[in-house]
Amino acid sequence: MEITRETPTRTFDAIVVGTGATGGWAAKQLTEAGMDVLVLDAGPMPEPSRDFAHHEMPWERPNRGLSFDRRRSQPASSDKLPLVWSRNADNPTLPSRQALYLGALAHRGRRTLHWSRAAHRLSDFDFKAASRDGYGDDWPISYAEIALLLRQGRGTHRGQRLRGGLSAVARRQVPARHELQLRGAAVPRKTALRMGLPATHRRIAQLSRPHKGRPACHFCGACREGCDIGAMFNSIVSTLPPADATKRMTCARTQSCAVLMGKDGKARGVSYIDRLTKQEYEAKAKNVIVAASTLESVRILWNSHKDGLGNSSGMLGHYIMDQVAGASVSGVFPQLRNSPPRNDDGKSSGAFIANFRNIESRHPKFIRGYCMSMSGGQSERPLYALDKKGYGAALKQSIRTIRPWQGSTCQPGTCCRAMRISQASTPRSRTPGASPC
Amino acid sequence: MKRRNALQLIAIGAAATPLAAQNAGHHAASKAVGSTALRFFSPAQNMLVDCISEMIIPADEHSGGASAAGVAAFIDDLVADSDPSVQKAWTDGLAAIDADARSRFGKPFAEAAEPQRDQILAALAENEDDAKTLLERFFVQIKRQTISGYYTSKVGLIDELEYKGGGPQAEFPACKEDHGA
Repeated sequence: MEITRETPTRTFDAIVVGTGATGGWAAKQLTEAGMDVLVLDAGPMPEPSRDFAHHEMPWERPNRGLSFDRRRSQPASSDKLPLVWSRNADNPTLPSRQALYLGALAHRGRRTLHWSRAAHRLSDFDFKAASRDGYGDDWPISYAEIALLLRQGRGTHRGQRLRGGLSAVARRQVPARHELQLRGAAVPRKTALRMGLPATHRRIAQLSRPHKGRPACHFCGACREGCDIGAMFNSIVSTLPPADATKRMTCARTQSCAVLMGKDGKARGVSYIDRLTKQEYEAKAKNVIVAASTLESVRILWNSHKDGLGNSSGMLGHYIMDQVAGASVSGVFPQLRNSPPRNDDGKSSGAFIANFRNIESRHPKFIRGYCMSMSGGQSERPLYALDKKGYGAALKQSIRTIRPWQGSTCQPGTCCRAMRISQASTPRSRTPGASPC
Repeated sequence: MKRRNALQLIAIGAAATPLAAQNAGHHAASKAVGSTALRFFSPAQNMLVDCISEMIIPADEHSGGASAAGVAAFIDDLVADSDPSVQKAWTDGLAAIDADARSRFGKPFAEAAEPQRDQILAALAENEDDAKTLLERFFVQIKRQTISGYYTSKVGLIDELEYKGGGPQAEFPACKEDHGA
């Protein structure tokens, strides 16, 4: 997939910009349907054995695997840093070594390599919520329109069952199919069930048994750093290889692009700069799929036309939706006091409470609802340690004994329509950098 | 829990993709425990860092402390890669804690008796939630980095916390215990 098979200036059936979740799927579906497809992405194909930091202990990693801010001398962000990010620091297309953002990752597969694998399915309960409660707008799609795609996707996302997102009412009837594996999640799940809340365990796109040449998860716990064995869903194991197998996919490494418009007002192709040859090319196609992430796709559309491509409604940059971090709470469970040390990293799942607000009755003040994901247990990083007071033997002892009790939840909710980006905020330059295409 | 820390935790939230990494993570691999090649601190400063960090996380019957874990070398690495203003805060802090020990007990911190050293740290720890003076801020900083360095070391993670993950596992046993939730 690394090498452009033919001169990319010929005419294709379709051009796909981006190789993340959407781009990967588009490449797979279109090539398997017999179309000749050009796929554009800035990055090289990651090589898991070289690019992913799996199975390394913190002391074996640069800066102990901690993120680092030299201005504050802080290796304090409590999260493990995927090594592929720090290796990207050597990538000359990145604007600065000071600030690496996940959205600026320059490798194929993009964020699918680092996602949390929680694959909750939305339903009309979510898509048409505005019709029900009068706030915001309905989505322009319905469950019926995407049901076929979801069925097709299941064979590829496959792993633990992905039935977490039926309609909110139906979700309550989904039984837990696996023994919950984490104590930090088992405790809140039990409590939630006792409170009558629809608690189950998370369905995640991670193989529990071998599937189409991909092995089952081996519980190493380095999922977010890019799965070294390809047991989790991502573009580089799930969608790009089948597309490549059709021999109908051509890939090019590009660092900037714009959609070309014909006189009839329709897309006729893409102009792009090839990262390897530094030449500008024009590739022709009747179909152009811009799947370069929420912000970059908008930027490409702005850069493709003086008023923004596809912007006759003036809505370009409005109603954007990306995954943003929601509220998160962490704490400890006294029930787990004095539990023996146990491996809770490499967990395959956590607990999940489906939305339980405003379903059968309507709260006078609280709008809509939220779901909760819960996780916990003895992870590699004792995240709570930085908050413990004092010093000395008492500090050390308290950090050790509190360790098995950790738990945290996060609450995904709904984006509001105030989020938008304007043309003024999108750089027009073609400087190599954040553009993934 | 402070909001700042709660926000950091979002990054590990069960369903959240990390939004941003602050870092460039681009500096030399940590030195091996026991390495004597200092990059920033003088030998005397290094000894002082080692002494304070060992007081923050001491050896006990269960496992080694910050000294055995090579925390001073970790901090030396960290400070060597930091901006000059950060480096100055560390050298100033170390000088100030020595000056404090001299004014109280007539000798540098590392040479003071254990109860005397303890007296100094206890005073600093009292205000760790609201550190104002140079010394109080220094204590917060060195404690933070001691914790970061210790629990990412073999001594801290394996000996002390008995961490059992980090590699491929044959199976992941289900949680069958009843925790009385």
